[in-house]
Amino acid sequence: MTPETPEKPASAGDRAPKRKKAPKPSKEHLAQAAIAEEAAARAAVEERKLAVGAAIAIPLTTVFAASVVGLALSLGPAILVLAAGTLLGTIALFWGSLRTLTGDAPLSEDLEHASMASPIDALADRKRMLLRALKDLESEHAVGKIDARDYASLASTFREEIKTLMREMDDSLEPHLPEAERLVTKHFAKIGLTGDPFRAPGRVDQAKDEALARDDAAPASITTSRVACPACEASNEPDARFCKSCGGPLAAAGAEGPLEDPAAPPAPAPDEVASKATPAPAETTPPAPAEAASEEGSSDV
Amino acid sequence: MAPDGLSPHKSETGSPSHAGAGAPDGRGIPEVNMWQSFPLFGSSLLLIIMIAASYTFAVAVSAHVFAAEKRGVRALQSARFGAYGTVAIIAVTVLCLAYAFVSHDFRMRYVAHYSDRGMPTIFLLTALWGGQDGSLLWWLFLLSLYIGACVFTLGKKHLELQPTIIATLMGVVIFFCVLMAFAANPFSTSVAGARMDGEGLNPLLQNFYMIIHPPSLYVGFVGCTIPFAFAVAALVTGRLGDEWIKACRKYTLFAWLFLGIGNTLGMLWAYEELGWGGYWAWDPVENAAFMPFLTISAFVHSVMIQERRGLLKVWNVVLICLTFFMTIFGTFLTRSGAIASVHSFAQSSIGTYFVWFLVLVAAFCFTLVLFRWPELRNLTPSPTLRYAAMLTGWLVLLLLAGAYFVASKVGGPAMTVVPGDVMGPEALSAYNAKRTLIKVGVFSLLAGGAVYAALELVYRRMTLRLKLISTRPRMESLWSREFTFMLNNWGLLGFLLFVLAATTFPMVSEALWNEKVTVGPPYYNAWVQPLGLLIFFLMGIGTLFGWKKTSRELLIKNFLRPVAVTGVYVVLHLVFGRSLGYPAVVWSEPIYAGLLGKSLAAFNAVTPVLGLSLCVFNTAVIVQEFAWLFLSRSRAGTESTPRVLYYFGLLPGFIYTMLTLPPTSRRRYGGYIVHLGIVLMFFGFTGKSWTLDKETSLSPGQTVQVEHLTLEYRGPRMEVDTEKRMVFADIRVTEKGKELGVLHPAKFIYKKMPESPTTEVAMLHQVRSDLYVVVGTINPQTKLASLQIHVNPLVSFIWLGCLILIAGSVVCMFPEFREEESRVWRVARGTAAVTASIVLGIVLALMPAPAFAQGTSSSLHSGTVKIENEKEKEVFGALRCMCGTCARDLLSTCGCGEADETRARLREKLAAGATKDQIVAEYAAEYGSESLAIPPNTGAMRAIYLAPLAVIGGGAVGLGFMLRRWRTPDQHQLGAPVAANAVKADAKSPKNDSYDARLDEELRGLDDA
Repeated sequence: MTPETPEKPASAGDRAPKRKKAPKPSKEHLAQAAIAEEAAARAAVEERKLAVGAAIAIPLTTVFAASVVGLALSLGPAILVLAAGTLLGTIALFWGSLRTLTGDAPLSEDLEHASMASPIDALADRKRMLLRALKDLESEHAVGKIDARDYASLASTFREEIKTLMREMDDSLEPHLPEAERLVTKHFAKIGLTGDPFRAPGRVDQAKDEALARDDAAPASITTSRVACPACEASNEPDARFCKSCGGPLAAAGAEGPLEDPAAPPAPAPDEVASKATPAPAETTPPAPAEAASEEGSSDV
Repeated sequence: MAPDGLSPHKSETGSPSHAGAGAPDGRGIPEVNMWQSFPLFGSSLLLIIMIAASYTFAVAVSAHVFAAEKRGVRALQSARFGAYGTVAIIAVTVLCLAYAFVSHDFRMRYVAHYSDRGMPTIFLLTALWGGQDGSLLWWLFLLSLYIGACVFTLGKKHLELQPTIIATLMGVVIFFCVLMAFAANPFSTSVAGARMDGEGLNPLLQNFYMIIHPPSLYVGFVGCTIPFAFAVAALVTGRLGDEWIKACRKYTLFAWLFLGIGNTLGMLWAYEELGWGGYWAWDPVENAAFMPFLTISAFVHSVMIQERRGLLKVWNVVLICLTFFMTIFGTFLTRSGAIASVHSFAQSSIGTYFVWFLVLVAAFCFTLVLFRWPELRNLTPSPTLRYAAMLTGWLVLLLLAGAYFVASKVGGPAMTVVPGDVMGPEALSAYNAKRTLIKVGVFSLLAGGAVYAALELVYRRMTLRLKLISTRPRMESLWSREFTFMLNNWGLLGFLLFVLAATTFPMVSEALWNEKVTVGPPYYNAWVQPLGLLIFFLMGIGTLFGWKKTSRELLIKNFLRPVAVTGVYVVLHLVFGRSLGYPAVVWSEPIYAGLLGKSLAAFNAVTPVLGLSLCVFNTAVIVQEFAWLFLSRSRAGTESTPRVLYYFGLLPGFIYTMLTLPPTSRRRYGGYIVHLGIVLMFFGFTGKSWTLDKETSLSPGQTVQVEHLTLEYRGPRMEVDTEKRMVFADIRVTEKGKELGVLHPAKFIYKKMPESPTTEVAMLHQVRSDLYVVVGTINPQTKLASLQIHVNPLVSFIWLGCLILIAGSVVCMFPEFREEESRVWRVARGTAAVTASIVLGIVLALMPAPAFAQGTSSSLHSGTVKIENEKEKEVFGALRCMCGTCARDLLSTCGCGEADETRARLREKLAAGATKDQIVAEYAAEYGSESLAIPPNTGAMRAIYLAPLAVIGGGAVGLGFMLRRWRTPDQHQLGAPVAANAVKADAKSPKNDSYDARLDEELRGLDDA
């Protein structure tokens, strides 16, 4: 269920501050720490396996034992067996709860990077509301409950309102744009993608869309995974080989899909990648981008 | 562990065949030491639940507090585990109680009280929720199932809301634990030690509907806790948008559905088992189950406005809090015995706990709403505004309370005239508790209004110079769906208020005016017809309006066909109704003398034609909607339903289409199907106007003609089984010489209680009407049988309507189809879904069957009432049985011995030439105004209808004010920003296209789960 690799950053993230406190880690210390870390990671995986095993085994065994007892003896004992099994489960659950609370048990990968503090976005809320109303209007028009003239006037007011909102949202994101861009390029540099796909002319839109992903999870995920045509800037399906607007070839997209990478939900956030690639000296990552990145990650969870 | 302890129980297999063998063993107490402490073990489990829930509560709260940090997530995960653990430990407790029942552990009072050795296993398990203590545990168990499901489905979504949701749910769990541990412990042992055998469940309660109707109501009741938890989470976190509404939508629908099913099953139970020929007696317990249904229905509608227009944020939160409050209040009414009812359990101290919990919930919700008042009013929140709101709210509340306190001190004890020595200490304390409750209720109503007004004033002043969020929602037109939905909310809440006022009126009048009254079914039946039909009418027109505003042409277009069809129908009914046996106008006796009574009676006289024409109107509206849907689909060529489904008839294809619609439309059309179900139910209710009751005595071979049916009494027949003797009267029913069937109404005489034979109803179900026959007495010598015959037209449509309502809700709640799924998979899933829903429908339809198959179904009314003529019926219908044990039965339905004597006495008086009014007046003089079926229409007693009507009227005025505020463009915001936007739009006009494209794309991608 959880391969070994994703555990590493988790435990590394936990241990990083502790190690920093040590005055000057010698090479031996580093090696020892690495070994300990490895062991901890392995233990964590073991524990996770145990938990999954218990989650499957306890109910199954209980039900099985209860039905055997029920058939062999009577209903009463079967109920007792069920109760005993459930009690075992209760104990296991509270054990898990306490261990999670104290920090002994590792959190799962996606929770490790989840954030509970995503801000309330009134604009996005309002946009969603308007979109919903517009969609309703469209379906009503499609059904013929509303005539073309009314539809046109109502729909245009809705559209105008939504577009104003979108503009407002874009404007409010404008200042953050360079920051996001910088993060993305940095991230690409880290993972060794120096081909710099963002030098393509569609770059501003892309980055903007990406920044938008923070505000509006569902629709944005559609826009972000699209590919911009290098020639005419038209937005194309991610797997398209030729532009739907100008017919020109979409060079990068077909061969290697790196374009989609930055926006794909489970993409490792930069700080995490950093800690993976260079264990010790990555502490320079400023807090603000980390926050932004984790936000990005969480909005798609 | 388990097998060791079993040795003493080995012989108790728990199977029904073994039932008789328990007694010869002669073991009351299991011998092995380990099991001595079993009751103690159970009690300590309750405490363990409390600890587990408290732990989870604390962890969840800390998760909320540290939400911004990593350890917040950690704590949340821990709280999730804790919630699962709490669920598991509750399951252990329930299993232990089940074991106690199955192993006949009569040391426990609860087990001894509700089971015996002879009971079949299925009834042993039923006994789990048969009594008060166990039913609370059952409640907790259902809640735990909901918690498990809720925590599981939340998964990693809505991380911000989760801690508060879990904490709220745990709070409710803790309350029920405290309740059980201290007031109603199902594991408590009886002081006298174990008995040889238990008392057994009352045989009267051992029937199919008794098994299923309380649980399904509970499922609905308890289900309301989940949306409540989401609402609290929304308030606490300030995420008041549509997030929480979307997240708990399915739970809300589920709770709504099961409240509906539970209420219908309750009707079915009353109809099939109680033997008085009706299905809804407006019993307090029935009302208690009905009221949350009204509020949650209002909620289901008003959230749509918030989702599309951003209006009514406060209202929705308040509605869901009110629903939760009502479920707890309903449980309180049932369990505390505060109001007499057929269903009530023994009185106990449990009521006090409920009152405190209710107060706590109310205060908590009140503070939270005040805290979020700025956001709910779409103001930019600031601490000043928050404190202003909270301060104003509580200050007004406290000031009012202080004023009341002073007034009551100064005003003197005007109403405390009940001497303690007359009532006895227990009755006195109960009396005082009731008075307090009433005062609190009345006070909070007034205080609510005052607080709102004060807040409005304060905010008016404060926001004069504050910046408002520029997106204050507005309502464009009265001719819009928003407005009709608001009207619908107003109607539903008005109805709720009316029922609430009438249900609690006996308490109110006793507390305020020291006058005991009874509010019987005649009162409700007279008053709810106008109110119910009003809501029914609003339901029909609501869907004809579009969002935002509807042009005149469009309205004409939408209304034309339904109105035309209805017009034609009304003419047809007026012309042919009488000859078909459904006269358009049916007069009934006015409940009050004077103008009010006359006008009510006049309205209710036209109810039949009005009700039916509204049914036709609503059906036409719904049919029109579906016709438009299918027309547009075939026109646009989007009809993707596999043709093969239509080979099996229209239905499978229809269901498939419904289930494959995009989520938003699917919910809408599912809603229309639900509306159709409600139309059918109203159709059934309207049939009540033409009910025909007949009393007759027949010798074998004689016949009687009832409407179109001929009943021939063939003679009595006796059967005996281990529990009872059964005396049947065989009646052959024919219509125009064609035999329709043989009915066997019966009297059952149980060995346990030979003095009160039970009555078995026999029914002949037809589409047009039900023939409902009850046998009163059968003379063993002359074989003369006295029969009570009811013809109930259209009743079966109520049950049919409920099935359609269920189908509609299934459509609404159905899981989403995804675009990316392959066609084959979609077809497979669709077919599976169709099969599943049909199977569900069939199962539900066949559910009544076991009730007929089962021998023990029986009536709670042991005797039957003999009424000889119309005059008697009127008199008996206006008076109550005053024997002291019959809760609130009228003389016309009560079957107890004293009622028989009273009726005989009154009959003599009638024979002596007394008029109805004289008799009623004499009776009231003798027994007090409590003995009247409805409160007299004099003096303060008028409050029962005046108060709710005043509030309903006030609501209408308030709605008007609200609309004015929504409709007038706000000077603060409208002028400048719009102009600015316009400028901006011009400046960015070249970019318009890309925005349009993006908008379209987002529109396509918008799928509201």
